[in-house]
Amino acid sequence: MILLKLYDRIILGLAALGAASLAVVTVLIIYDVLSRNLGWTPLNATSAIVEYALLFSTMAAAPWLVRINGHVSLSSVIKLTPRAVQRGVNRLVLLIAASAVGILAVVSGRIGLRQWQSGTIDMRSVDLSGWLLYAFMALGFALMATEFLRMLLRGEEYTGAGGEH
Amino acid sequence: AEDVLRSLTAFPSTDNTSQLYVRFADAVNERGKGIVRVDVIGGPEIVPGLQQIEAVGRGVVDMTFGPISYALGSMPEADAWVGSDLDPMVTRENGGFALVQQVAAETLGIHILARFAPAAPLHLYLLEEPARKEDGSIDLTGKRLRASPLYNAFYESLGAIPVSIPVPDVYTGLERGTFDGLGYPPSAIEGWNWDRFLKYRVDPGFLQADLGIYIAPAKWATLSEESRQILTEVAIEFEASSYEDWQKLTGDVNARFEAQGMQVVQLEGDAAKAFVDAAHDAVWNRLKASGSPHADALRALYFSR
Amino acid sequence: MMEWYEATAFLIGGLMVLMLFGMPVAVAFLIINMAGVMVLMGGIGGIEQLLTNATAAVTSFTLAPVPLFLIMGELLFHSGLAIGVFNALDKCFGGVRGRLAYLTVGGGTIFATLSGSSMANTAMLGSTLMPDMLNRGYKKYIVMGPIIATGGLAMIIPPSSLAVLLGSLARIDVGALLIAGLIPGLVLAMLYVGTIWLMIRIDPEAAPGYTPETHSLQEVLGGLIRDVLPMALVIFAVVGLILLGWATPTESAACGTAAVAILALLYRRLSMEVIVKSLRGSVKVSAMMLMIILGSTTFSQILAFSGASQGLIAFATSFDLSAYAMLLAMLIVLIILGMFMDQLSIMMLTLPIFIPLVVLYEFDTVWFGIVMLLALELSLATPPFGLLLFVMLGVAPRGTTMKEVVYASVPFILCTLVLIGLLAAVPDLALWLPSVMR
Ligand code: NA
Ligand code: NA
Repeated sequence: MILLKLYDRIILGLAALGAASLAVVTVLIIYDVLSRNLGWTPLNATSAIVEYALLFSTMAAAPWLVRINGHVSLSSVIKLTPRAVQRGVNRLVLLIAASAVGILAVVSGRIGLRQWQSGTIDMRSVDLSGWLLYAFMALGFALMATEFLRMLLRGEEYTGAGGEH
Repeated sequence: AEDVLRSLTAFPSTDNTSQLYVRFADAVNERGKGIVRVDVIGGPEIVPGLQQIEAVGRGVVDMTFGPISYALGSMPEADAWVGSDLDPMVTRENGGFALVQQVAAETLGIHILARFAPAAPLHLYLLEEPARKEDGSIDLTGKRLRASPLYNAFYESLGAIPVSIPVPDVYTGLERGTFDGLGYPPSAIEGWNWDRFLKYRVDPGFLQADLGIYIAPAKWATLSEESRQILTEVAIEFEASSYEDWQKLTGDVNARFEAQGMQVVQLEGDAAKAFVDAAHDAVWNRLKASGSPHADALRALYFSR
Repeated sequence: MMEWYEATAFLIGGLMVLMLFGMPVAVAFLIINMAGVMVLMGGIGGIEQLLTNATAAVTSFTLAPVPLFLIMGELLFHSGLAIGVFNALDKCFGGVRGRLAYLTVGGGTIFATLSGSSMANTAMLGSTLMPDMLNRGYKKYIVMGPIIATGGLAMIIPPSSLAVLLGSLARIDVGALLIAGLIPGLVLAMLYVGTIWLMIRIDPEAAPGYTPETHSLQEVLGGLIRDVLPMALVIFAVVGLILLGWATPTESAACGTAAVAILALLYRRLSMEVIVKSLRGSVKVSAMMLMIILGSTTFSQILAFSGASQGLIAFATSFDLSAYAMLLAMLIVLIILGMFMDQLSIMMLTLPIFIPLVVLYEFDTVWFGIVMLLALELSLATPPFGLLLFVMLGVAPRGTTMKEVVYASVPFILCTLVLIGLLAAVPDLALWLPSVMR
């Protein structure tokens, strides 16, 4: 049970980190504009960090989005079928989704590992480690997979209707 | 049976280097009728330019044409092409080409067919006339140049500040003076209409483009001996002819710019030498700093200054 | 090798089936991409390449306005600044039925001039305007339609990164193309206003009626000065800083966000709670959108790799047609490809074939560029795979269906088609301004 609680914390904590990284992006770009025009010391890292934050925030929030039904899905057509069919199809959707993003997590992990071993560098406005982006994806996709599985095991349905503010 | 290679280009098909490559493919197809054929299936709309060398290494596409510096993060030795001042005929003759070919096979898992070099230099283009120092060199202290990971070290050595500007923002940025200039090949400037705002060109140019043709080794291995020979032959011919064509093209474009009122900031003598040396040094120092065991050998084979 | 129509059927058919079964849109793209690369590129290597391409699709600085404009919109909403603007305008234009729908077009047009990004624009307007307008009794369709529509204005009214890329790829004068978009963009905004007026005439219940109470001039002016006028600072932070050369169009989104934050601070509306809520709302929509962009960008690459896109282009342009029939064929290709592919890829695929045809048929290239931008803009709002539709669905309240979103956008899609017709009849709508600016 402690493990489950820890897991929940990770899902929420990552989403919070994703949100925080967007705040960092805003501040960095504003600093960049100000420094360029006021002659302050510029930060070469800005554009590299912003670019990485785009993928990081996406992958960090994606598992939480699964949990709150935040990834858009279309339900109009399947809703026309009998309830039992809807349920069955939804089970299948969850299973396929979990397997697919699970595979993507494994493959991302493999590329990341190889890049880590070979010391590949991603040359942006500053040099960053090549494995980093793949680590983001491996983590994001893996936790998306466990979130889809969690829904499946708890008998919940994915509705994609989480667009509430 | 006829060998068929499906090839990409790192730049969109409307780019003039891509069009040169299509002429290369046509020449191969002409000479290799019934033996070997290169199908140019597209550009970055299929695999993003930066990721194409990886795609060839994985064997998901047979062949691509683009800058070797796109793989610099995995193969520091790519800087040998970036920092070279010799033409591809010379470096093929002296064994430089074979050395890069061998390193690329080991680290990137690709077969390099040619250092396909539209090898005319880049130039610095500026919105305003730069101040001169007493020794005749230009003073770029505090000037904002559009950043490029390849040339940032050189710009910084000139006292300039590299600023990151995405390509679609460059036009508006130059129009509004958000930054002061950039280093680019002339022919590419023309396509973006940036010459409308860039009123000064610094001569001499520096460095050269680092384009090459890459083939998946597994595919290369399945080709008939005859096919390989035709590909290599045509590649060597184009290495030579395209080198000259491109220098002429660059000259023509720069002459057009001048006719439209672009001014030349001419560096002379020691100032010119120091400027070009700084560009080369930044590249060769980076190769040295990478710890590559081939750094010294490559410098000896690719660099004459 | 599969024929192009077989590849098309496999990729697009598979995607449709997955989506109709209720698979999250982003995951549906990823699954069909995996199947596609397995068949076309072969095995695990294909999936590796898919992921490699995916990193490139999302880690692009030009996408930064997506989260930035979202934060700006969320801050406007959660700080109450947006409601202040609405209340003041309600008092001012109390007699005009559907005033906030008109405001959407007005505000949307302003933000379109600011941003080059339709998706950022739609997401921002959707998350700012929609909750409040629904509370005030507007029907969903009259809220969503104008938002999707004005989002599309972003790429035709300058600055527009898409116009710059088009100009370069097609060797059209970039400056002329940017300026040429201004009048058609404003005409389109007027067409939107006319459409809203018509919709309210047909269905008066769509927008709340007249407010019975009248307000003193002092009250009205006070509201305008206190709540609406300061928004000029936000607009200055975005457009003004671009014009002054302080910020690039991409960076200006961050400047606008800063301006909103400063205003909220001055009005004592910027609490920790507001900031947290705004970031939470932003990451939710931005991650949803970027995940779809990750899937759909790689999908267009696979579609191009399979030869399906090239097959369609070659087929449609292979007939011996009159000038306007050929133009129509090109538009149809753009709209069909636009349903499934991202706009930059479409341009790279079609321009090498279209531009020689444009020259052959003696159309003006700048004029054609504007028509092409309109068709590309349209593609973002056309079902089944219009990204703006997904964005709208993502920011709309619980229970909103795709059908509602699509119906809401139809009248405005027609406006764009009308504009294309107008441009064909009166090319000077686009060409006059560049000709006098020379
Ligand atoms: Na715009
Ligand atoms: Na679309």
